[in-house]
Amino acid sequence: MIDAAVEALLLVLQPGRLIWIFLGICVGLIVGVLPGMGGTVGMAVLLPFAFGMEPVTGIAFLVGMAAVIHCSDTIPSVLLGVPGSAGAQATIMDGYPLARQGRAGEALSASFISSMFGGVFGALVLFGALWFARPFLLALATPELFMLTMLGLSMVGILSRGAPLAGLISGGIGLVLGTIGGAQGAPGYRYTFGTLYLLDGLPLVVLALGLFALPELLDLMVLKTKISQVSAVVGGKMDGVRAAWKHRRLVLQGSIIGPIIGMIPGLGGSVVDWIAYGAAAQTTKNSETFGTGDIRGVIAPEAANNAKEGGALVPALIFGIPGSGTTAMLLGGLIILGVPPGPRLLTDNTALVLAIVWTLAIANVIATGMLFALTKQIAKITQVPSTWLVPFVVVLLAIASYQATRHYGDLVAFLLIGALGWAMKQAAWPRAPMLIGFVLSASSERFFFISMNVYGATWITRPGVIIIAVLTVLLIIGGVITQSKKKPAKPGSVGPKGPSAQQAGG
Amino acid sequence: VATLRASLRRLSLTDRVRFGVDVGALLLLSGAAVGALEFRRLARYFPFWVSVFFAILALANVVHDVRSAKSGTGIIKGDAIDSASMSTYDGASPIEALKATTLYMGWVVGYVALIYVIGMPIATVIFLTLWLRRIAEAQWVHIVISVAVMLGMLFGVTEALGFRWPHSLIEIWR
Repeated sequence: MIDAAVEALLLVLQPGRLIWIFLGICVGLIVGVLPGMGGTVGMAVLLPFAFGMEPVTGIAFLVGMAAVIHCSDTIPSVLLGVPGSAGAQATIMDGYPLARQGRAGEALSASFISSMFGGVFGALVLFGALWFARPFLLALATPELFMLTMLGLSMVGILSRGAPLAGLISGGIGLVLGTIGGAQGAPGYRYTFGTLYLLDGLPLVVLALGLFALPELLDLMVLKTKISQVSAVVGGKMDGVRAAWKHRRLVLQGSIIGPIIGMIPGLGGSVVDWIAYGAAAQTTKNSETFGTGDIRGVIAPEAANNAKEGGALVPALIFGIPGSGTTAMLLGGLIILGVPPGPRLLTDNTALVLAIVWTLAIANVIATGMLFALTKQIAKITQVPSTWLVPFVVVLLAIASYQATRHYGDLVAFLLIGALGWAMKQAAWPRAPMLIGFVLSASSERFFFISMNVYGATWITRPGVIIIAVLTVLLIIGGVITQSKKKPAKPGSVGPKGPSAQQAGG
Repeated sequence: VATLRASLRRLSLTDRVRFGVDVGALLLLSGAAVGALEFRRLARYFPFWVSVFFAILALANVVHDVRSAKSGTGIIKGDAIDSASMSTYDGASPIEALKATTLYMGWVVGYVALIYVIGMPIATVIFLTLWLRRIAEAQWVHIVISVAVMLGMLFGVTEALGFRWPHSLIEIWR
């Protein structure tokens, strides 16, 4: 086993391969920075180039790209309040308020360090899980998967700062919005209003950009200020490193949550950051500052979303089951490279599988080094006056929104959802729960539908279901107790007050 | 009804927006529940029951708003006050903020409409030029450089990542 790991490391470290990994990393970092893009887009870009490559090189090239997207997707989340990818939504909650306080450098470097640790930890989990995870994954049937979606939904309460009922309703609207388009497990379309655009449902990218980005830009313009409300970028790289070290327990916690959620096919990356964020808010003291620019709210989701990549590869490599669009493309890449994915992959191509593990770890370290070197320069974006920054971001958002389905409806939906998001923001309606409800809508309906069909009502009595249900109830009770113990946040010139504070409510 | 109307008038603009959003949520969820009745049986369950459940919560929320309005206390309370944008516009009245937001939203809507009519590249040039000149009050030389850099990035990223631009009514430049 160790011999095989060493052999795989030597394979990956060959200069010819390292160059391809580096190229993959560069593409991954660019894709991560572009709002609304994600691993699937990156894979689609790189897949044609991998054709004809030697398998280990080709797969290292692809994995190098996928591994680092969640390192750089933090940049737009922190600096612009725009999610760089689906896995970087929760980072906005505290990352953007930190940028407004002039602490973008600290937020970015803390997130890069947490991401690196999470990514390497995820690779370790993948390494271990390749040998031990099979029975665990086989034990998860649809009832347990349904309960895991409920666990994700329970985060709604935690993210509804000061407005629990509105938060619940917001989550409910998200669930309903998630039912637009083709029905799960039954023929027919829902809420399409006769338009072709809605047949495939509302794209997550458009919803996330509209709900979070456009309202933020409008408020920036109304205030005619810079993103940073202080005149200089305070809080440098080392502050972020120190913060990550100080809150190492949260880094570890996020790194553990990430692979566990990532392993579950269909639950995936869009929710792991929220779960890690919610868990951090639940398990730390003085959590009333979450949502107002608390570095812990950046560290936890960033560690989790990178660590998730290792977990997501577990079902893909053990069973050939893609847990996300990115892993589906990766399996496609394996086929292109002449390596059939499936249960025999590990035994027949041990060196290749271990090379994937090493690439995952090495890519994270290289990407962090690159980003870390640029942190101070990147953070200067927050000093650009909004009258200059906003029009360029609007152009970027229009392009990003349109790539969702490449239908003009994407742009119209972006505007409509943007208006809704703006109204919600003004009215202190939590927006994050809506996104969580939307993300979990399809999977919760599908898993519930299958559970009822296969097990009848007896699925409720399954031990796994009961354990997850107890965990969910404990989380909700914990959330209620935490909320009731919270002291009112102290208003200050920067922080809770100011438009960025709304991020607390989502 | 008259008492309620008077109570609502006494609310701050932020609270009125909140009330509007709360009522909007109730209408949306009720509409979704009614709309779900038209779906086929198996496709109906999830959206119907979810809509009904949350519509009841939304109704409770609106009732709570009305009670708060009648009692003279604001609708948005506690921590949530910090989360409401309108309560935090220092130096500008909420009405001014609303007008300014409408203006900038108009710019974005205008840009999207331009994309539909004349296509993305030209719409982007016009939008950026006008914005930078009128709102940022930038010098022409800065405008030309900025727009050229943005267009270069647009074409570069589009080429590299295989992006597509929307079709337009008048296909001048694609």
